[in-house]
Amino acid sequence: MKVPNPLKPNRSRRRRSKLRRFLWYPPLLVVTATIVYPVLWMIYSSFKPQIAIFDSVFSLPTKFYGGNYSILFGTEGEMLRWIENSSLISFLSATGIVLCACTVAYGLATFDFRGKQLLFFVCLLGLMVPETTVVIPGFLLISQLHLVNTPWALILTYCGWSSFGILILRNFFESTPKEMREAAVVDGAGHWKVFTRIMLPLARPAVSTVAIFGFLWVWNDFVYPLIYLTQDSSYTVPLGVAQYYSRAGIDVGAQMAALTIAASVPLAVFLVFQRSFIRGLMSGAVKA
Amino acid sequence: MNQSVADAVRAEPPAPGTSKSLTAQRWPSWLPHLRRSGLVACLFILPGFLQYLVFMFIPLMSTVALSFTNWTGFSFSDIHIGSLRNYSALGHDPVFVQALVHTLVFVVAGSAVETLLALGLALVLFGNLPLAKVFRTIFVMPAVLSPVVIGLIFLFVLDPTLGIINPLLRDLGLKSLAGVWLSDPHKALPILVLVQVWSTFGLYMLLFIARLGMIPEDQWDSAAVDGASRTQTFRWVIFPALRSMAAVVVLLTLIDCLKVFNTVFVMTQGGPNHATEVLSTWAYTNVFANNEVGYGDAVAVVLLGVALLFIFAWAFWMRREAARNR
Repeated sequence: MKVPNPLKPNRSRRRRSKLRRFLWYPPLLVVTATIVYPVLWMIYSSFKPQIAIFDSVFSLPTKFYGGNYSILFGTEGEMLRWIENSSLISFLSATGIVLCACTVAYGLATFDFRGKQLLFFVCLLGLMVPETTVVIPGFLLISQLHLVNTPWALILTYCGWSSFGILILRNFFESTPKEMREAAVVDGAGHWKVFTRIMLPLARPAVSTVAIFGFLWVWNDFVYPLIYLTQDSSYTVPLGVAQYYSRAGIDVGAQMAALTIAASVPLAVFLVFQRSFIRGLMSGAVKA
Repeated sequence: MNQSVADAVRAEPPAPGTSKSLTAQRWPSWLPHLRRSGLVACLFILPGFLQYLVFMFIPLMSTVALSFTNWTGFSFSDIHIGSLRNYSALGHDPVFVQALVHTLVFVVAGSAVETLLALGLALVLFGNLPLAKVFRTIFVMPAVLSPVVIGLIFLFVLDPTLGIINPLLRDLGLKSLAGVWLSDPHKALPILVLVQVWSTFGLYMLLFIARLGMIPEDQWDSAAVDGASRTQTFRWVIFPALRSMAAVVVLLTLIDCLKVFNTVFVMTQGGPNHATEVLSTWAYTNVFANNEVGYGDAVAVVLLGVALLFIFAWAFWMRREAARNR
């Protein structure tokens, strides 16, 4: 049976509301333009030589110009290095976040023990903490471990930011019937087997959400790299781009190219994993 | 959350594989029972939790501890517990007061604008409007970009000589509006709020759409069968559903706006003349530029306190609402 659209309750209104719907497009297009145009402008300006950008800011590039990118990837530029650093850090951290969050969430959802609620609350505290409030003692810790300027400083730190994952995954595990887990354990499977063979495959959508969000968050993070990394060669992409700006403030074309590169990875991840990103966000939030 | 409360209330089920053994009773009640399942639970929870504890929770507590010292950040030997001096100094620091006011303004304005925009667009894009999915995807897109990149893009967009905003206003015949943007102390803070809104409203719009999608079909059906008007449908079907989600979104936007640091740091660094100073940037400046670790940490603790205050107020209000609706 076709479900009637409640916003168009009866036939007589249908024609009028169909017309009225088109009134939504102008405001929607204005919002779209304010979102898309700055990003597009950044991308196409990165293919214009600096003089052309100064001459006419709006115009599209007349012919392909790759000079800005060759500055970044040339002998002077360290963009490639930053991309390597960021990729390594983001992949390992996302993996670590998923591992930590999955095990803690399974433990919290499966076992009953004294202080479980308190433990869960302590875990969630991380959701409301501004990074700037923990970065200073964090830096002391990292320097005591002699990890300043290494990717491990960041990877270890990010693996501790598992609150979001714990929340999402615990909710997911709790939504599965407890009897299922217990039955498997009684059958002699053992919790580890139940966890890896049954629960994790079941939780794939939630796990992929946590992995994607973790990856994007780590890739985009700025505060930790700003404090933990002091050598150009160990920078991540956002830190490198920000420092590049303060150093070479005049070279607009190269700036635009650097920004385009920094934006392209998260955008690509988003476009590729769009469905699980949106689905995960929706299901996670509704359950929380 | 309710689910977990129910779990806690429910009596502990006998652990599978072991009978509820007599040994359990010999343990002092405050000691965790070291049954086999207890050990397994530890193996699951401890590694991840320790990671969290060491790299997140302990640094957080250390910030609180350091805020009671006058440490300058150079060597551990000259740490002195300065009691509440840092906190009493806050009141005499005009920049701190400004930063606190700016943070509150940022939070209230940002949260309100963001929630309303997200709500409005969710209502428009929830229906079967052609291209709704495309709009949704586009609106979420900025949320995946790094705040640093967003800040730098807008730095260029708003630049009086290089940027596109002034030429655009000129072309639209609004030349009188063109001018300096981020270096104008009256415009800078509202611009930062708008950049924050720009970058994350799409996420919250999706949350509202998700909630609308969870309204059971029969509610729509009965509204349609009863011949409810648009306003009636809104009042009795859409509004009740969105209210609970709006509460969640308000909380999330509050926390988001309180945490704001990256865009401010990149775009204005708190300037011009502290006109956009917020608590997070002022804490950063004190710790890393002025070497006042103790004082900067006190500012950070105030930020944390404000965050907790908002969260407790929210939880209190939610509980009262729930009690009233019962």
